[in-house]
Amino acid sequence: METSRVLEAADMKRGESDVSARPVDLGEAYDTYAAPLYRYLLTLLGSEEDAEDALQEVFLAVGRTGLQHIRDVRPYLFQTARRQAISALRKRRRRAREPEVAAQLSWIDIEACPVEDRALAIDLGRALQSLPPDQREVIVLHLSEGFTFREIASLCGIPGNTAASRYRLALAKLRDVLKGDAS
Amino acid sequence: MTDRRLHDMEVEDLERLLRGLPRRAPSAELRRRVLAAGAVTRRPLAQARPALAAAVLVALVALDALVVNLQDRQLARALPAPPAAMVAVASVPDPNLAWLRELGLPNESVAVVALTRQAVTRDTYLSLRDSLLANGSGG
Repeated sequence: METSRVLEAADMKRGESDVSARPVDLGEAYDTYAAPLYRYLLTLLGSEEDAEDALQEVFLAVGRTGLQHIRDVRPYLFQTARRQAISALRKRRRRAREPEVAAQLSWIDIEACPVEDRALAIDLGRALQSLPPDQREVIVLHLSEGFTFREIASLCGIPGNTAASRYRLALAKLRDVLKGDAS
Repeated sequence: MTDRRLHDMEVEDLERLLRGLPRRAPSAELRRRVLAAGAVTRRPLAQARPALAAAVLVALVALDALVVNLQDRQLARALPAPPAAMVAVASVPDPNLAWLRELGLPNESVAVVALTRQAVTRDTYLSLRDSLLANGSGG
């Protein structure tokens, strides 16, 4: 209960003001949203190649339809990215290809970490990628991209409480994985 | 074996750590590729506008003709059609219809469309018919 209150308070503080201005062209839309979308896709897909392809599809869709008619651009783009990721995962399943589980395939930029933190970042990245996709998803959205649980719930089509509890479960599991590796 | 700093980390510390780590971004090469692909598939409104305007215009003319046709169907059946030769040389009654020629329609079509547009009301239609007949070519 206590954790839930803390999480809700964090939601109030962070996400609500995180509404960006509407980009006017494809280049501006890309520069504003490509990085968070890429991290999201990378975390969901666990493959650089698939994440790049999916990101390209998202922006091709933007190029075709424009963003003028979209009220909230960020949720719209993440929704589009999510559909692309689901489609890519289905195709992969059809090809019976296993997702790659590598530390470099989380959202963490290991190369940019100070040398003394790289081992730690690699461990964290590997532990993150060992989580089930739905848990990885809430972690990347909340911790890396600053989504509120309400926004996550809306994006994933789940109740707000489920988003928050899924996040808590994911963090607990992450901690267990890291502990388990230690023993 | 993981980094020992992670062994007994509390959840809150883990959150803080994950938030603070540098985050990846797509490469400049991917940006170039995506924007190049986007430029090929995109049809900016400015490019699409002339084609769209022409299509809308033609659709409006067709709709106009249809409405006239429905309104004056009986009248049109009763009227002798103007001879083709006259239609071909008939001056366009409405000078504003110059845009029809600009669409590349043949003169005859311009005259017919002009006739149809003028026939929006029964009186105008009859007046035009009389005018055509009075010039000696109708019937």
